[in-house]
Amino acid sequence: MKDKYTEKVMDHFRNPRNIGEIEDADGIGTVGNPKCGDIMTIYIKVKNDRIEDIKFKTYGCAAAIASTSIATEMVKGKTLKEAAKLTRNDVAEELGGLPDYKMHCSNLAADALKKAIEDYKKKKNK
Amino acid sequence: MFGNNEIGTIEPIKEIGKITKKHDILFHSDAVQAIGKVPIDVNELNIDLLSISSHKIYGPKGAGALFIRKGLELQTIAHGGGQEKGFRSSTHNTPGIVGLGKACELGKKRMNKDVSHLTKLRDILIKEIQSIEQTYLNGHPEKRLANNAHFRFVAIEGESLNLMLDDKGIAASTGSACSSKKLQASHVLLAIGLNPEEAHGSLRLTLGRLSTKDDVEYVVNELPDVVQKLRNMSPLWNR
Repeated sequence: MKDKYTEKVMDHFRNPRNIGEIEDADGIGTVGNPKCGDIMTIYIKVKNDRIEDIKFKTYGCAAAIASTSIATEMVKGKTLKEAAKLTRNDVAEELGGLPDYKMHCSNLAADALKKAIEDYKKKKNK
Repeated sequence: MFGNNEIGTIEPIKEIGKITKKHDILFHSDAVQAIGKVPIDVNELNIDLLSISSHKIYGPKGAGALFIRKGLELQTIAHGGGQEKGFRSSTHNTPGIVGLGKACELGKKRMNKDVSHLTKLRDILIKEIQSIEQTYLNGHPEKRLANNAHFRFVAIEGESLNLMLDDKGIAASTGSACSSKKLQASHVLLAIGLNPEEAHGSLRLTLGRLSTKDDVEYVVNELPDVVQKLRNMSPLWNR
């Protein structure tokens, strides 16, 4: 079963980066559905339009955990504008690829991040 | 199925046999999982056809057998040389056939010893693993195969659990959709009334003649930490 995942996926699965919650998060984004077996929440802390801190929690397979982990690494310290450009393909590429059938169900980190950024903007404009 | 391959439940074969006999219906039972663990008397159970497989009873892989009640006329699906009374053409797999026969002979002799050994180990797994919070046994608590323990863990997903156990040298399997290319949860778990979420968090542990108490204790010691690690990552775990 391991063979279908790259070493990088297994590394992020075994040692996820930025795991946890941010209690006073500026933006929170959740995507997925427990029915499908994947759900992820991303928390961001924003300062001067940059993602100063980012944490996540994921319920799901190794691909779901690894893709959220690496996505948080990819955007930490980036401006919101840069971070919002992150796509599912960027995440999969950074992981050295994902099995085809995992691309759509588990690779949702970019969507969760976009939701977190939207949430931040909504709260800010209130 | 005589004994379910996923959750290990032993079906009420005798009752089914009575019904099929009464209504003159042919009764086939897949006993691949049950053979060697449950005594099977095809006459007493009114079974007309029974399938078994060699590798499940420590015989060579690639051989199996179909019991056909005398007098039944089945149509072959393999035409050709007419081997096995015309029923299964193709050169006999002699080592496989002899191996299966021997495995049955030994399996029958060892069944009581095997079952008591497996039951003891299985019951340790069931008792200890169920003591992990929000963890439940799938399948029947007593009417289950001696080698099968099947659980579900709230708020974690089976493929992740399986991979982490694999890292610890523990080989298990899951009914989670995420580990199947079809991305569908196990039809067995859904059929017994679990929702997809519950099916995703399931784990099957099976034992064999060579499993030891040390093996089981190792699993029982390692599993709670792995479950907790995954729950700590899970947004569905509220504690």
